[in-house]
Amino acid sequence: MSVQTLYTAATGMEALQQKLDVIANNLANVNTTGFKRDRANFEDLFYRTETVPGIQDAAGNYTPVGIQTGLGSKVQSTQADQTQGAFQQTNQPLDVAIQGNGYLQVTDPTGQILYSRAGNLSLNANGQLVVGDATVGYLLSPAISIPQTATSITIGADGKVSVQEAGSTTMQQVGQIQLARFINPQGLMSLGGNLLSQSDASGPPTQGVPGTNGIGTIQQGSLEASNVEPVNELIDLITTQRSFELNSQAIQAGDQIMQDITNLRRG
Amino acid sequence: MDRAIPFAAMSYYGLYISAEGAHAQSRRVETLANNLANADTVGFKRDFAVVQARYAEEMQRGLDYPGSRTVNDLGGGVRVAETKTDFSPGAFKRTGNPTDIAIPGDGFFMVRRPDGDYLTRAGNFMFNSAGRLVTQDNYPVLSDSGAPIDIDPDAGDWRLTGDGGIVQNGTQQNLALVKPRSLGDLSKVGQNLFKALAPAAPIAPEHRQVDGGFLEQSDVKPTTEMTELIEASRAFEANISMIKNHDQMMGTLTSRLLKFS
Repeated sequence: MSVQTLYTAATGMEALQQKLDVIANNLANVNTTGFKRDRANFEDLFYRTETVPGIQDAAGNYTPVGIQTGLGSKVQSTQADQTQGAFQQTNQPLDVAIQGNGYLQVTDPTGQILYSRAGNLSLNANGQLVVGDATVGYLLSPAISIPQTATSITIGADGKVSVQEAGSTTMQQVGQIQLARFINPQGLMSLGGNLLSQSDASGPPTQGVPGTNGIGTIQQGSLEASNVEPVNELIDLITTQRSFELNSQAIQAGDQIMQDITNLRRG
Repeated sequence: MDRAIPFAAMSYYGLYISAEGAHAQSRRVETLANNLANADTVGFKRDFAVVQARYAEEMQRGLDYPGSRTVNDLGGGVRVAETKTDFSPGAFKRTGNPTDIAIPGDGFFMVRRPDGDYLTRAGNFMFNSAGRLVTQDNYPVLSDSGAPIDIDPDAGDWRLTGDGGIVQNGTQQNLALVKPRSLGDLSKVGQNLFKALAPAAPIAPEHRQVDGGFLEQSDVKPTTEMTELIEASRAFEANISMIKNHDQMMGTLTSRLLKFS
């Protein structure tokens, strides 16, 4: 019966709608520092096997491949695309971009370590480096304090944070930025606010000093832009919308079939 | 006068033939709906229903023979003989993700599910937290020796070679690339997987080829599917009209008979 057609096409529409949600979020985050675009992975649902391949039917015909009707599709996973975003030169001393696979580590109010690629650091009221906003930002881990007398801050490619104090001509190291990397960064959980948390899928972090073990280096005065390519997203948007329309046509065909059947019996 | 009325001449028979025709067309629509639902599924191969003419019942029962030119030679309607999968290659889409792998030409990856080994063309793999190459459903992707592919999570970078090898620290593990004896051997099980009815043979080393950073898109062509959808719906309608005609005919006949009796 063509009720199946309705359900099959509905699974397609539902999955495509989910894909549209993902695209919309990518587009909304075109300008988000360190944002990694997501993509929806599709898979087919299970199959209704009516005739097992190779069986002989009542008419004596062999069925070489059998009769299998697929029951639609679903979104299997949403996967973050880990490719590097473009580097934006800002010349702000507290903007850092990570070249490579590493993540900045921050401490949330409960003491849990979270991860971020957004290197727009700032100083809070206590002179500590925080990720994001100076008022609500989370402390960088390990914590780095900048003396109030500092006149300039330098962050090296190896993560060494040095300051020059008023009246002094030498640089003085005040901290060391450490990065974390994961075997499966795609398994990190997005928490919003440019923050990610470790999960069973991502595996535990491997910590290190920038520049070692392929963990990435730090570029001061730059920010990593989001890796969303608006053109690609718009193309995805168009194809998704069209696929959605095609599935709605299948629903209409199924509906028409049902209607024809219903009208079969004369009054 | 005692000659039996051929079975096909009985009015109910035509009714059933038309019903079967309608049934076959609605089955086609179901298959088309599944194709359209999977227009975005990585490595998906479209299905199509093969519709086959049937002999009239008299012939199936051995009471007449094909080509007898009697009323039975008109045929006995239609049925869906099988659903076949169209294995034509899908377009390759560049993703840039190193664990996305597409196979140009023939061949399938092997994936291990708890209930057995399966083939797939969907190469959207990833390394899980243990450093094992898995599908999006967390099923291990197999190497040519039939073992899962594991890399050391702490040992740094790995790369994919053009012939389907994963190299880390100088050790290479080759992805299993196999080819079933016949594509007709494969039945779909969902989750982008195919079950091979007979063991699939490995592809010869000189023919091994993969493209890293690419994904094979579904081979569903919307224009074809839409054209077929229109055709199937119209054929369905035609069969339904035939049923109505039969019904009307029999109604008239019955009322006439009742009038004379």
